[in-house]
Amino acid sequence: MRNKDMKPMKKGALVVRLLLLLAFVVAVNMLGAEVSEKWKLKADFSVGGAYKLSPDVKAALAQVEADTNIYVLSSESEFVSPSKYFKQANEVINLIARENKRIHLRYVDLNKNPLFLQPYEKLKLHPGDLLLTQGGEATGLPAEQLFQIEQEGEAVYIRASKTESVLTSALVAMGKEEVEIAFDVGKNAYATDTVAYFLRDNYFKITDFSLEKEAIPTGAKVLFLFAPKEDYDDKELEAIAAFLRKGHTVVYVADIDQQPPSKTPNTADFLKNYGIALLDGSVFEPNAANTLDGNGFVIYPQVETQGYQNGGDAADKKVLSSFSRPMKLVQSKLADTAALLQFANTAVVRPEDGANWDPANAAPQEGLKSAILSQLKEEGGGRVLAISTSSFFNANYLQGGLVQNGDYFLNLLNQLTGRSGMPAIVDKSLSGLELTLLADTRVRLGLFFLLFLPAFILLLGGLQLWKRKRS
Amino acid sequence: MTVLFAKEWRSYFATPMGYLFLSVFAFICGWYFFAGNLSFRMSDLSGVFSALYNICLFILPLLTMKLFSDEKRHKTQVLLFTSPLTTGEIVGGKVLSAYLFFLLASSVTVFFAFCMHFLTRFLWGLFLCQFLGLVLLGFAFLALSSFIASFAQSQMISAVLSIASLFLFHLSDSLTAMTSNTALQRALASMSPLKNYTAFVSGNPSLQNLLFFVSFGGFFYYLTVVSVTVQREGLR
Repeated sequence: MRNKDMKPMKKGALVVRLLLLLAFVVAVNMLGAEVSEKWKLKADFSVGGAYKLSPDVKAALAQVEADTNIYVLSSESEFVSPSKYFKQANEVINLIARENKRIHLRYVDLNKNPLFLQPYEKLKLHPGDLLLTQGGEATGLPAEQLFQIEQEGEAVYIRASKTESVLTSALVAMGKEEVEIAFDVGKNAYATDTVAYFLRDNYFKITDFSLEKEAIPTGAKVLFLFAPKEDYDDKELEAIAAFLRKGHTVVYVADIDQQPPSKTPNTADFLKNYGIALLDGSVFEPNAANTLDGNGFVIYPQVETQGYQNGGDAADKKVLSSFSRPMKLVQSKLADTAALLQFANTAVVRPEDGANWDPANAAPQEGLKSAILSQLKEEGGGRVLAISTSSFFNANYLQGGLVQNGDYFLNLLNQLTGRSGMPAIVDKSLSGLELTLLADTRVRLGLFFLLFLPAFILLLGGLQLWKRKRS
Repeated sequence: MTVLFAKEWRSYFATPMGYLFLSVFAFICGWYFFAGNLSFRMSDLSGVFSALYNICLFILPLLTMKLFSDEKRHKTQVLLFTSPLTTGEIVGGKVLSAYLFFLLASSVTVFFAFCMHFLTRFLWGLFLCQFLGLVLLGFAFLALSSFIASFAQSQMISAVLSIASLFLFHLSDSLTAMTSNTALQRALASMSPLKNYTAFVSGNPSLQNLLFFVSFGGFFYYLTVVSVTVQREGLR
């Protein structure tokens, strides 16, 4: 009788003990989650420190002095669900919000709060995008801008994350006056849509005007002359020179579709005054190693002046200059010039009328440049940036993952316009480093791990079986 | 305990089944390595380690299913339970052998790492973090499977119940979306093996991720000891 009474008691005690232990385990985990979040008890072994903020970004975030809200337009669990890149982006957004007490982070589930976006309809935001507000100012950051997106055939995938630098740029830009860039759309200039869209995305104010008919907008800090097909007259050139004397920047983009410089002498002479000589013809690179897919007109120029490249995981990516007008440095009394990008000494020039031209017979020309920066000598003087081709701003080169033209140009423009505190755009990949692997090495390794190793282990098993049968 | 461990360890290699397990494990890992790393020319082994989560979910119960049911089948349970070994030693010896066998199988990833090391600038820190995640995942999953094996009547029941239980825990992450209670959401999210393991795979583990696997494994290891103790007391 006594034993029967004891057993249920013992069982009951055991059950209570187990339930208490279970509660303890759950509590420890919940507490661990809270402590880890609060004290940032996290390690980061990822490629290029994808889960931590760089010193540049921390310094930039310190500049945010007004209360700023980051609204992630979905619940946190939904935001991180699409891929590991969204999880990384979420971690970085949280780190950014923690870095400065003025920055507040909120997740807004639009299913539960459908009217939240009503005051921001103009921004055309969607679930998963980010909304930033500061005082009465609001700006949207579509989710796709947080990543480096690539396309291969019909497949579109995220190659790297830019969340850290893109979000920080957006936050820093909110508190500052926008830098205005004026595009001269007269003179039958090349279509500026792609580059204007790219610059608007990066918080520049874009104004279109025609120098033939109007004065340069007074607020403009940068004048963009995007491959004008006609020559400028003296009056127009004087307006540009006056703009430069104010300490502003002129970006002149050349193109092989323009009339050759010999037929636009005013513009060519004007640029020559600033140490930039535009030549007739187009640049051709016979050395396939310096080209994209062996196309001699699509060339990777060498970086001559350091400091503008993407320093992150895209650092190994090059700048691409295709169908370029040849440019050279010349002596100038007005300005100091420096080559930013230059073609290899193997490059040749295809003449303007090159119907029967044979690159094999062409003599290499040394010192052909792809980008030149000219700084006026007089105090407070402006700068002329000459780029040899409008294709530099091709949408695939600006936004695509193939080359880093977009990051390069943006970093350059930030420095030229004194947008201090804007972090350079840095890609952070979560996929590790790329292997340079020959096809036969790949096959050999594949055979070893897929066939040889499992077969060897099976053979050992077979031997074991044979031994057992014999014994 | 050492004698029991050695006996269990030898039993994995006494039949071709142990070799078959190692061979299949190596083949599956090799496939992910070939498809994810060699074909795409990427050095990061995240793909292999991510795939290993699902593999562990289904394959680890196969390692523990025979731990206790074999004793019942061969009628050696009485001998074992009346031996001078403590229950902790019995469970420890058996679970440790299964665990070391799992580590032996997982060591194929170390070959991959050395391979990458010679081909590119390999991130050993990230690999060690991912490997630690796998070691902890194995510890936790084997503890749960061992607990089920300790009371299951047959190997088949043990394996099926273990896979089902591991799958239930796997689903805890999905359950967070089904509740609006924030505290419950957090509790469920913090108890998700997938979420905690993914943190190691992506190279961004926190103290909580470590705590989860240690507490999860420790809890089920303790339950196994309790389960065997109850059976032992029933024999006396």
